[in-house]
Amino acid sequence: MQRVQQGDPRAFELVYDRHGGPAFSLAYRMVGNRAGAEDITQEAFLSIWRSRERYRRDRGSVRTWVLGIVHHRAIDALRRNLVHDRRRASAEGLEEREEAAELTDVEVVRRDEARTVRSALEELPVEQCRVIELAYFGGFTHTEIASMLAMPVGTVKGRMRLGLDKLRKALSEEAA
Amino acid sequence: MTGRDHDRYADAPAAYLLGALPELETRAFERHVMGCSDCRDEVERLRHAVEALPRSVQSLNPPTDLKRSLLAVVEAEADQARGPGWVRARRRLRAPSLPRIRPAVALAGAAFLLALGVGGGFGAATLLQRDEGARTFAAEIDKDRLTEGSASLVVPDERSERAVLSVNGLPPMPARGKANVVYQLWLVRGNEVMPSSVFVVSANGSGGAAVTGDLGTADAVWVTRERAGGARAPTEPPVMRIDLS
Repeated sequence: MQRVQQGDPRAFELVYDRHGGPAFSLAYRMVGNRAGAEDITQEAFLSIWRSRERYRRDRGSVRTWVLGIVHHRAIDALRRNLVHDRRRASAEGLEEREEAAELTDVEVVRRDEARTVRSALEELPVEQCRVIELAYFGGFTHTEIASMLAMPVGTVKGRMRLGLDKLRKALSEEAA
Repeated sequence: MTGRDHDRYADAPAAYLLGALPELETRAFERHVMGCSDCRDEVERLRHAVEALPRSVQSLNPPTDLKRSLLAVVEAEADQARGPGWVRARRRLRAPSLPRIRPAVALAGAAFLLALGVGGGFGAATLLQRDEGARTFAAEIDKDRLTEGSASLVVPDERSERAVLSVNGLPPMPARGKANVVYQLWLVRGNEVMPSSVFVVSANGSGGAAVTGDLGTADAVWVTRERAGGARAPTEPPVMRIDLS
């Protein structure tokens, strides 16, 4: 990452090779279509390149930084309604998707991680899992979720807190 | 920090980390956290759970031309930062048979042409570079309305459905009434003008966006200034034009 911060495009290419897949996967999960996910991934990596000097190792891994930027970009896009229409129009499963087929060591680790987090999410009470997914992957605000689920905003925020706390504990136990 | 102030934000850390707070509440919470160690601790405590969420998604491969177009912009910007001497040296060292997109010279050329000043509205269309199938165009900027800045478009190849617009030194985004303004890209084919992506520029006026669509049959790419969220049809004449034909 130090070489990226010095403006080395080859080092940046390595960052893209390592994190481009997870970034694109997250964007696709959020906007639900390939074109929108490509736009977000592209904008996010250009932003990463242009703000590379802001990365601080003590604040987290490169992957966390990259995925955080992708998440913010996707939320911006969703809230600008740029992809809501496309997401509604997209028939999940009919659209061309290219699943990562190559089972490299890295991919095996990724799939293990995915299974672990998914099973921890599935263990949460349904109402807590729902508000977390609507917020994080759907890009909806707490007031929008409260309106959708016909419940007070305070209840939504409380369920987010309880759900994340349980998820944290489950993942800590899994790691131990 | 008063207890009442903290109570107001008691459940905010989780919503903040999930990105579920609206913009104004996000800013207010960030100010609150600066002076509230309880909320700071709660953010740190829950952060790992939120950071695990993207790992739950199905793993997909991004398209290969995404990397190519992204690196074309990155290399061009890296060369610009190093100065024209670097570009000349790199051209001399480059193996002639090496297939590679090399828009750096074109971008430097774009900056030069625009610095000369295409004054008083639009000038002629400018294809700056054609290299290994990649084409780089300098945008024609309406200098009456965008008084500073430059822009270029890299189209990786004839069949590509993705191009990358890169802008530098544009003036700050104006507000239109109470709404924020964004730049919006349009793909022009004959009399058809189709909306593409929107983008904003950073404080120093730089930014970029992908232009998606059938670029092989498009005649031009336009840029207009629109309200946040974009428009279905342009609400003003283009402030930038890139003629692809």
